[in-house]
Amino acid sequence: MVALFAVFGMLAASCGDDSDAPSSSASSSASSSAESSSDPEAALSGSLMITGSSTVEPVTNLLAEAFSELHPDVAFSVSGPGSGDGHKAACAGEVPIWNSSRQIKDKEVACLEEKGIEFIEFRVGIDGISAITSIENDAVECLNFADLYSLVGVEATGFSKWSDANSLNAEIGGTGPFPEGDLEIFAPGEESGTFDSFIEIALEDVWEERAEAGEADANYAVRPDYNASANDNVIIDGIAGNKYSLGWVGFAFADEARDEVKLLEVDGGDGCVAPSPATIADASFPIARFLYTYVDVAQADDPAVKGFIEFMLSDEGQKYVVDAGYVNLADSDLAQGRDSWANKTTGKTF
Amino acid sequence: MAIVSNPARLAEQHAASLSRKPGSDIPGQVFKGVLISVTGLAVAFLAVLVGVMVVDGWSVLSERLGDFLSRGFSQRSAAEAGVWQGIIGTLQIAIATTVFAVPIGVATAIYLVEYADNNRFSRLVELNVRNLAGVPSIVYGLLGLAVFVKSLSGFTQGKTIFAGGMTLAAMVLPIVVITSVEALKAVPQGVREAAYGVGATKWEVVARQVLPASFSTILTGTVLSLARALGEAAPLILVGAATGFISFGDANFLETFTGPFTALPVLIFNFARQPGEDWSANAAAASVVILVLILMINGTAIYLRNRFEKKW
Repeated sequence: MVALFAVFGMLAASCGDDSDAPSSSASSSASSSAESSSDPEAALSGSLMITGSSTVEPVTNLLAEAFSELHPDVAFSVSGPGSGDGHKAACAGEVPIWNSSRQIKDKEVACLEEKGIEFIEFRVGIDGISAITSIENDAVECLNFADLYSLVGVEATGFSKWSDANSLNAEIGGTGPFPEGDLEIFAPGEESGTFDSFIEIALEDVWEERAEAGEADANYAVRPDYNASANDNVIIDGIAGNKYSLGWVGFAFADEARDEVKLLEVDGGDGCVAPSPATIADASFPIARFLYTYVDVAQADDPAVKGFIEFMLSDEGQKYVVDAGYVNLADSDLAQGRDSWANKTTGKTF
Repeated sequence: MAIVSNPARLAEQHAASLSRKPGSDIPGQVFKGVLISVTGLAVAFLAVLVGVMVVDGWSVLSERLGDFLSRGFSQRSAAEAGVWQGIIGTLQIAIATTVFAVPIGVATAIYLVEYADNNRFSRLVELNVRNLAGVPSIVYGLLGLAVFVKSLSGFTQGKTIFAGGMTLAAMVLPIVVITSVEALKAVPQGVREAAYGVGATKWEVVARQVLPASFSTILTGTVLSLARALGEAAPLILVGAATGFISFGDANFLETFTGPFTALPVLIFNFARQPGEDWSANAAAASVVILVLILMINGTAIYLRNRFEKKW
C-alpha cells in the first residue's frame, strides 16, 4: 500500500504541473463559458463527452486527437457503446455530441422531442459492409441479396450446410446451388449498428416479401443460430478459421484482414460489385451506409462543441474519415451538413 | 547372546512389520500423481498465458516501453498509442475503491465479530455477505450505473472516477468483510480475556489489542481484493469509462477525479477490438503492464504481511 501511494504521488506530481490555470469546466458534459471566442485560433477549454456508435468512434477518436493537439485544454471522453446507446444518452441529456452508424429512428426523435432537445444532423462518412468468407473458400465469389437471405435469413434457421439452403435459394431467386460445406456464420450481435444496417440494406426487402407471404417470421429477419460477437476481430477470426464460413463486418475491418478473409462481391440488382473505396463512394457497391453525428443545438454555441464540429466539417477533418478506414461523402452531402451547421437547421435533414 | 536393543533399529523393525509390501498403496500413489499433474497443469496454464502475452507484446515491450507507458490514447496509429491515462485511471480507481471499501468493510467485520450477538440477524448478514462475494462483476456495474451514476449524481458528478471507484468498492466489499472477519476470528480468545482481565473496556480491547493483532491479515485481504478490482473492465465501461480518445484538458489532478476517466483493462478492451496486428501487440503489452502493476500490489501485500505479522 505504501509503495502504491508512492507511485501515485509521483504521477500526481508529474501531471499536476499545469494545474495553476483554473479550468472553466470539470463537469461531465460540455458547459458554456460566458465569453465565447469568435477567433478560431484562440485556445479553447471545456470538456466534451461524445458517445454512440462503435463504428463511428474511430473517426471521432482521430478528430479528437487532432483537435486536442490544437486545443490541449479541452478535456475529451469518447466512447462507443453502440448507436442506440448514443441516442439514449442524448435523450438523457448526458452528451452534447453523439454518433450513429444509421440515421436516427423516429422513436429516438420522439424521445428527444419529449425532453425538448433539438438536434442538428450531419453525415460524416460512408461505411461499406463487407460480406466475407474464408480466404480458402473458392466455391463462392458473388452473392445477391436473395442468396444472403437464404443463408442467414430467419428461414435459414437450422441450415448447417450451404447446400441446405438450395431449395429456398432457388425459390426466391438466388444464384445457387451452393457447395456441400459446413455453413458457419459469424456476425455482429443485435446491439451493433452493423447488424441493423446489414438487415436493413441486404435482407429487409427479401425478408418482408417472405413475411407478407406468410413464409417467414415477421419479427426476426436473421436466423438466431449464428455466432454473434461485438468484437469485429472475433468475427474475423471465426471467418478465417472455417473454410465455408459466412459473415459480415464493416469494410474497414474486412479490408485490414484481406490475408485471412475473402471479401465477397455483392449483386444488388446491377451485377456483381466488389467492395472498394471507389465502389462504396459512388454507391455502386450495394451494402453501404452513411455514418452520422448529431449535436444538441442548445449546446452548439459552447466553444468546445462549436470548435469540434467545425473541425469535423472542415476539409482537414474529413481526412480522418479516410484514415479511419471509411469513405468520404459526396460533396453535396458534406455541403448540406455545413449548411445545416451554419443555419442551425434542426431535425432529420437527410 | 546379548540382546541388541537399539531404539532406531527397533523402530525400523516395527515399521517394517506394520508396512505393507512396497507398491501396495496404489490409490495413494495414484492420488499423489493426479495432484502433481493437476498442479502442473495450473502452473502450465499460467506460464502459457504470460508467455503468449509477452511474446505477442514483445515488439512493443522491447522497442518502446518508456514511450508506451508515458503516452496517451491514440487512434492515429498503434505505434503512437500509450497507456499512461489508463495507469493514472487505474491508480485513481485504486484510491477511490480503497477509501470507500476499507472503512466500511472493516467496520462491518468488527461489528460482526466483536459486537453482534450470534442471532438470526447477524447470521443473515454474514450469509448475505458471503453470497454477495459470488455475484458477477457486471451486476455491480449495473448497480453502479443505477445508483452511483444516476441516483447519487450530485455526489459522484455522474460518470466519474468516484462512480467507478464506488462501484468497484461495492464489488470487493464482501471480500474485504469476509477476510476481515476471518482475521478477527483468528485472534485468540485469550488475548481478549487477558485484556478484560486487567480491566480494559470493550473499546480498548478492540482498538488496542484485537485490531493491531489482525492488522496484517486484514491488510493482505484488502490489497488482494483491490488487485481483483483493478482487473475489471466490464463494470467500468457500464459506469462510463471512456473506451475511446480521452484527454484531461486543463483539469488539475484533483479535478480529474470528477472528469472523464479510463483504466488499463478498458484500454486493453479498446486495443483488442482495433483491426490489425499492431493493435494486438498493444493489447498484449498493456496486459503485461496491468499484470506487473497487480503483481506489485500483491508483492506489497506480502511484504506488509511479513512486516506486521504476529505469531501466536
